Amino acid sequence: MKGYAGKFLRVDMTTGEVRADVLSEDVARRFVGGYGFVGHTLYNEVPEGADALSPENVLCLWTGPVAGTTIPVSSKYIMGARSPATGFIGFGIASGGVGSELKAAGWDGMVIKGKAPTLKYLYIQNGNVELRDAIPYAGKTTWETEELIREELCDDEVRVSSCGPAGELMTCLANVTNDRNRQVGRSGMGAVMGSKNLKAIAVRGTGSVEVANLDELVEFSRDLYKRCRGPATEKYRLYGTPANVLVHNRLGCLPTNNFQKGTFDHAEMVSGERMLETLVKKVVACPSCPIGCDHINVVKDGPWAGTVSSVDYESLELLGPNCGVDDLNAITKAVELCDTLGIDTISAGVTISWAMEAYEKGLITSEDVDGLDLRFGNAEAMVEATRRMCLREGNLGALIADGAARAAEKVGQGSEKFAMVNKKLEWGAYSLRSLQTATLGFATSVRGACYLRSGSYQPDVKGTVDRYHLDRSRGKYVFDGENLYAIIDSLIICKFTRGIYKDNDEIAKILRLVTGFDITAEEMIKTGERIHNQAKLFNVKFGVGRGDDYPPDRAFEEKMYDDVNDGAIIIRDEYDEALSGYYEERRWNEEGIPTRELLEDLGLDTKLGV
Amino acid sequence: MDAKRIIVCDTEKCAGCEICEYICSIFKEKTINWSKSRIRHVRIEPTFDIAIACRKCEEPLCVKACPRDAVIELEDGSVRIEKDKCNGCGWCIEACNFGALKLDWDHKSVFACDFCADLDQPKCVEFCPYEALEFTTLDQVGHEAGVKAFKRIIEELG
Amino acid sequence: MPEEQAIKVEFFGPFMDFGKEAVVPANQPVSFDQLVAALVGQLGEPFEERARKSNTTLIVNNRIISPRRRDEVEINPGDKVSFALLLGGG
Repeated sequence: MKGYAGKFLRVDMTTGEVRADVLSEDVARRFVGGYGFVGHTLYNEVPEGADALSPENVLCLWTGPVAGTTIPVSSKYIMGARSPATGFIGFGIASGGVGSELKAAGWDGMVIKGKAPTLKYLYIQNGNVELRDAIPYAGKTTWETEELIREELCDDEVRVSSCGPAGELMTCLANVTNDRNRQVGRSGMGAVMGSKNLKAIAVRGTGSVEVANLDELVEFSRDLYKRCRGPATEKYRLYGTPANVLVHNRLGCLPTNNFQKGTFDHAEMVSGERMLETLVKKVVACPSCPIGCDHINVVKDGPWAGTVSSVDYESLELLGPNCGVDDLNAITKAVELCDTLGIDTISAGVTISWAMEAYEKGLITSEDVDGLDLRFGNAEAMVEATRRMCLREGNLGALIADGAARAAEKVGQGSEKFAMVNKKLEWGAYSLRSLQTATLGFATSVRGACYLRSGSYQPDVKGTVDRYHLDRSRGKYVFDGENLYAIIDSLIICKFTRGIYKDNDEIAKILRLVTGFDITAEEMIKTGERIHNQAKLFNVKFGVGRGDDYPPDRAFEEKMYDDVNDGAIIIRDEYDEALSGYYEERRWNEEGIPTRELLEDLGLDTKLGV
Repeated sequence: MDAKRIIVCDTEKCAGCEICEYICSIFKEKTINWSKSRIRHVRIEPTFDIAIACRKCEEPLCVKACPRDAVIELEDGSVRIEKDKCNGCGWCIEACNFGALKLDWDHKSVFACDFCADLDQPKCVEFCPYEALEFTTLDQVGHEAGVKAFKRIIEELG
Repeated sequence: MPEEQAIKVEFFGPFMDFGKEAVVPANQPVSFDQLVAALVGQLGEPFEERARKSNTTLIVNNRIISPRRRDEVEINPGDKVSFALLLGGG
């Protein structure tokens, strides 16, 4: 079986036992890798009712068959566990060197259970694997932890994934950072690491990555590198994802002031174009990436001089315009705080914008926010709120550290209606009412409020559909997107390369060249459908229902007025209809539960089917 | 000085993708294994990347350092490691000022760049997607830097 | 020039190399090709190549025009047009 190392680690944090297990070819063929393996592992191994932050939860880390190969942007890995934020499936994919290094060390991934008596880190050097003392790293930032572990091991080429102080504090939205700028961001995987007393995973591999057809793979890679330097990826190369700011603003879908509006008066102040001109010092790439979307900002002056961070569109937008903030230096600082102290930037931005709205509406007091002037547009208050959130510091930290949904539960008084969440996870930086297919895709996503599971904003922004209305046919876009993205996330390749492939068969070709599996594009998409349903089954196991697949009430109850939108709103009946259409496309019942017939067809466990 | 062609890396263009390392191992070792690459990527956080290969030094310290005469200087200025003499002691690695040599873990030997001697240009240069690597002479590098600097001045003066 | 006799054009991303915005006089509807030709007249030949790249996104009155429909689109005096790069995820 080529492409795969063929084995993975089983780590019992409680006893300290580490052993090798075999990756079966059957699992590899049915679930491909990455996201597929996460769904498979969690569905089978997380006990019913296991609390996300208890030793019973299972934390897994997987690569896919392409990790460590020459395929563009293939050095990726995924971490998964039951999410402390949503209670459903939690996972996040990160680039950087951890994925390729793990493959070179001879492992496809790892399954981690239990809880260590004291803080540990896992060190993998080829076949030598051990849990080591991490007490000296308690409370350290992710960047410090990376550096200190390399120093301790006397090896600068060790790749490190670590959680920050927020993870150790088991903050629901804690992320995991590797290679400084890459994050397993969403759904609280850092908190699960913290709950297991696992500070970091350090990997060093010097072995070879075997593929089925090396010669053809290299030639195909050469062709793909050229395409990666062409028009399909120009946006990422020139500006990185912040290129979206001005365009989204023009389309009226740039969330502003906690999603109250879709345009921002000062959009030009925070545009990707301006960022490139004033703050970007360097473009850096992940291993095997010919694109280089990562634009490193260095703040030159003002109160945050010396700040360094890589600022993506989502982070910039949600900590910026969505908090009314038009100061790129402050945004760069807030992102640095999130990355080093260990919280997801998306969740941070949407939670702080919720707090700003609650504060402006008088639902929380000055005492609740430690005297900060937490109004929209106050950049200093946004930065300080971020810091307090990461460290759970003061009244404000205690209120918002676990995200907007939980904060709103505490505050009540209707503040739940403007907690911009789905499945208790904060919404991505796409406005709800002016991108309605996107909203359907985000709200039905298994991870919660997720823009990465289907690319469902595409028919909206490309003008394929009327983005101000929904109908039964929209489910098909979400369905198709999810099945393809399930494969992309299982291989795992970067979504920024999706435009370089002429068709799905070219993606199947990658799988054929790397693994030697004889698989057609059609079979691959069917496999994507299986992978998606496996993830969904995990959610079914933990009680997901139709009610979990809705956007926040603001989408239905408040009309949006701004420079572009004149009273945009989602009509509830239209949403209901679109949701039913999506379920029908998926062959799920009206509650969103997969039918037994479908599960049999996909070769999945039928126990929870209807 | 002979016009020796070496692999130079434009650190403003290099993004640290390490594709040079992948490609080197594939064409030299017939496998994907970046620890067997003759070219080495180094990142100094947060904003510096460079790829380093043999510099064809005039009086190579690696040759002098080898206690077993296993590092041989060739006519083109590159060095060859005589595998049957080399025992992987690594003094040459220590001696190299640039970190251009790398330990061969499997064979108790050392990897040194041969600039893909049988080809027009090294494979890493051919594949570098950022066009950061160039197979050129230091004279030419200096010349191009001069041209670039003065072009800018001319433009500024109108 | 009264607004209804002109098309207002704004530039994002690499189109900003040609300025922040432009005004194209028009007293009747124009096609995409005609608009580009008028802009080339103002901004020079390089605009032609830039505008015709496959990743050009055309926005007319806050709506993206799908590349498939670009040749059919009518741009009216008073319309606001933006040139940007292809949108994709963030």
